Amino acid sequence: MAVETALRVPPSTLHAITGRRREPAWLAERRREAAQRFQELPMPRWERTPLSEGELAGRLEAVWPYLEQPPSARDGRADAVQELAALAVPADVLETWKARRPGSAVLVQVARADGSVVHAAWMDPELARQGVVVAPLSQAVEQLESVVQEHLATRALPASFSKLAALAAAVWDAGQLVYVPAGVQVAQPVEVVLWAEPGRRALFPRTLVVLGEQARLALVETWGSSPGGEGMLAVGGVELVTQPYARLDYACLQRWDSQVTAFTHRRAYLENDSQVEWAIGEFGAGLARSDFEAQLHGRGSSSHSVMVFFAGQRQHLDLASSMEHRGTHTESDIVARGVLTGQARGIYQAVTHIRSGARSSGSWQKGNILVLSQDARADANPTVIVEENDVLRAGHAATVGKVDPEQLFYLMSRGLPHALAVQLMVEGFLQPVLEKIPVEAVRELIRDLVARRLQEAFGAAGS
Amino acid sequence: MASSHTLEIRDLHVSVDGKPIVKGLTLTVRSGEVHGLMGPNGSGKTTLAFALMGHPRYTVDSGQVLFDGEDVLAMEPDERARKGLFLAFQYPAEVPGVTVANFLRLAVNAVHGGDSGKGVPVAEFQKMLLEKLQMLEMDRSFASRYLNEGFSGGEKKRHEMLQMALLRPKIAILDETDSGLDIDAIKVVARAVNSMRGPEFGALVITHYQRILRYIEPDYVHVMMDGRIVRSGGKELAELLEEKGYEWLREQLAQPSA
Repeated sequence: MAVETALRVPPSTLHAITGRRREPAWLAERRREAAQRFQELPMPRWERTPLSEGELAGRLEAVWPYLEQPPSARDGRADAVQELAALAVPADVLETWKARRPGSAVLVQVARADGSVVHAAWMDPELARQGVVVAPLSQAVEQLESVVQEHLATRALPASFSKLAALAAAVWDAGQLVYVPAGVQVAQPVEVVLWAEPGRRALFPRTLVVLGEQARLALVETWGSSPGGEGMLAVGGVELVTQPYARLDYACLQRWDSQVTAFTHRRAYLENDSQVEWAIGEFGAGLARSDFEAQLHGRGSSSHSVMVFFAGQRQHLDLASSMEHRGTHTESDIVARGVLTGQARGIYQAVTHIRSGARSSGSWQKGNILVLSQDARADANPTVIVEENDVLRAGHAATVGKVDPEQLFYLMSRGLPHALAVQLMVEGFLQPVLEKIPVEAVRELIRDLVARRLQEAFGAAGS
Repeated sequence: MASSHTLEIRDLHVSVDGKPIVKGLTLTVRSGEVHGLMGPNGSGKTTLAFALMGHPRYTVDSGQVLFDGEDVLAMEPDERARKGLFLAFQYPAEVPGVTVANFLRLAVNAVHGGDSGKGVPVAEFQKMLLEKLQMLEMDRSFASRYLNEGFSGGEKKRHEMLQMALLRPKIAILDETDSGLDIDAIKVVARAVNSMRGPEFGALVITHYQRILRYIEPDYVHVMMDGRIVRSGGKELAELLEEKGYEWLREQLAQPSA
């Protein structure tokens, strides 16, 4: 008798998920198809973050019963600040919730240890009147079913993209829809937060952002968790769709606790003359493999990205960015700067692919990693693949460097203690790429997160 | 009451990458005094300056450096700065992404902020900064530029003097701050040094040429050759050297009877 070794989502798990939410038939079917893909597709092959089938299977075995158990508390609303605070949401996230700027919207979701998700949502009534939706994804399935049905796991990040994309599409259990109808320009950044309580064992977050023609939005998304518990597996998917002439400024801040193992795909599908500006901050997780990709399908579409990462202690961050030029007159940039301390491992890969037919397109890549300790290790691997003759610009540059002893001596000779001098140099190192982020609030958030990580690495040096 | 400070260098030997450069140098600089240290290229002037400030590449093989009796060589560079030593760099490092204003505020707080951790009040710092910028004939927009990045030679030197003026050291070492400057810029540098002169400030002005010593009148002049001080005197020694050159002195030294 053959032993069943194939990695698969148990039917009982799928049944429990769709049944619990009373999901429409098309969604249940989409999950089932995704589960099928998950079984069929090969394991991801990440050169420097090996993940074996047995390892993934082992992690998932621990997760299935968890997904099947009926939550003791129903998913629901948690509007009061006290309630969010009681759910281990950190102070700065609470500030986000309290800010409620006119012209904006906020959605905070807390993934609880018992498997439920509670949320608090606020939106300027004027935005609601214009048809803007910022809602938990399970709620959006009811509220804006046609949009979700059209875009969820269909174009930007279909289940067929990879084994983990299929898994994420099959069992997503938290996330949000952000929808801006055609012609609506949201003046202020919209903030969405998904925070996991300690004790949560698994989370499959999914974000779907759809901008109609000529819509404009700046979205700041945070995924994170509080320390404690036995560790969590997070497999997430982010889908961004921009219709003609839309512009999306998308920032995502990864703040998982060090006990978290996280695999994340983020993918954008750009239609004609639309634009996606990425600002990515990767700071947390014990082991994270995150990638993002802009698919420049539409003629004249463009995407620029700034990624900042910081890894310390024994963190392992494997970050990949990719620009896929398919349409003519498409343009992209990939800029990344990372800092490594302790025994951290940082891997930065960038791929720009200008496909045959993507005439008059251009792209540039630049990646720099600063290594602060003897034991940290860095890899930077930029690649440009050009299949089209008519290319405006294409190139890349990548460096891995250490603290410059002359800079350090100069700063110390002015009275700055070693730790403070290094902090200042790190801030200076990141400053030029932060300046490229168009949304000021995002620059501030990333600066703040870098300062926290530096504080952890070097202690309070009184800057 | 003015307190007096002393930097004592005793039979100092310094090597760089295993090569001896400073070979037994003895010199005492007290607050209230300005010393000119002259010498041809390669005589070890800059090595002395870096060793006094604690550059990790410069190894002190033997000798002592005492500041008010304390062992300077046992201190990290930042500790030396907080004690009141200052080095104006000949080629200051560029630190992109760090603004002059932010750096200066951190430096002033580190040196004068005290143990309270509160630091110098922002308004007070701003006032001080504007005042010193004015003295050095620098535009206030200078403060928002990145540290030494894209600075002209003259701007770098003025920036060094700006830091000296703000940090108010007890003993300052100026490493060829006059090099590459036109006469107007030299006058500005001299003004910065002269504005600090007094019973609580001493300086060691390292230079190749006598020029700057016309504007900063030294109390003492020393000549360094091959890692040692070969002659000391008053300001007339600088004038003599300007007139006759280092070769003349070398020849003189070669004839011990002369």
